[in-house]
Amino acid sequence: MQTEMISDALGDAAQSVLETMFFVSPEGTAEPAYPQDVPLLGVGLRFSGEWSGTFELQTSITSARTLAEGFVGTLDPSEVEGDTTTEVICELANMVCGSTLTRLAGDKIFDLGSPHLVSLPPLPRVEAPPDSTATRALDLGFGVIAFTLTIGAPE
Amino acid sequence: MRSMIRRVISLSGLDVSECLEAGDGVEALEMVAREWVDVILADINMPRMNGEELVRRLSEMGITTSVPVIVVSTDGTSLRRARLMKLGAKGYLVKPFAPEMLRDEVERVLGVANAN
Repeated sequence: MQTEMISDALGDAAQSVLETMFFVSPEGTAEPAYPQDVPLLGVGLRFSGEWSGTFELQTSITSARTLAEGFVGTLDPSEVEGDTTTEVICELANMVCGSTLTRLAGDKIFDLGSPHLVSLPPLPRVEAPPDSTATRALDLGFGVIAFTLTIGAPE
Repeated sequence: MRSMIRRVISLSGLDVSECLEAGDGVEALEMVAREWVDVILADINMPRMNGEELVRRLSEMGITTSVPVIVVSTDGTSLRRARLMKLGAKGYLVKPFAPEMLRDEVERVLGVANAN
């Protein structure tokens, strides 16, 4: 698996999920970097099966809250509490990871683990060839969101 | 996801008297044992008991013959879809989906036409 292929699948999946379910149109790719004083939210999950590996998502807490508002469909930001934001971003991670793997895996069966908050820096890397990991960051217009997928050996 | 589905259902035009929520497959089984429901929407990824096991159990209990189950999953592979349908699911919705796709799938499995 080549880094470029993973990166393209990540970008396509993230774009589709954000537009369809979060009503956000990313304005293009971005550098996966944030100012040091911006509080960040990180979510990770593992997947197993014919393919195994890890998926990580990172964005600012402010951007996460804006995404949650779009997903829940409220115009009142006070309706979106911290727990709701976390749940929505975990759901976003689940959808982008699953959608990316579907694009890459063809008919390989895989199982996604439960997304959970990760301390930043995110999960330790799984054992994987150097070209089996990719990061794609998107400019949301109100912040940056970065996704990293690492594909290892079958479990 | 449950809050989003609840919102879509409420906006769908379907005549929904009550929308029950279960946190996982175990809760869902307990719920259908004591409540009558018209349709079950089940995610694949759930703690304790996942959607695939839930469909298997519902099928063994004979519930899928009278209550259609729609599986919601990020896994768009044909193998997974075929496996779930063989287990007894009546619908399969791949995330991400537009709200109207959820409404259409619910209407299809319930045999409701043009609810809006």
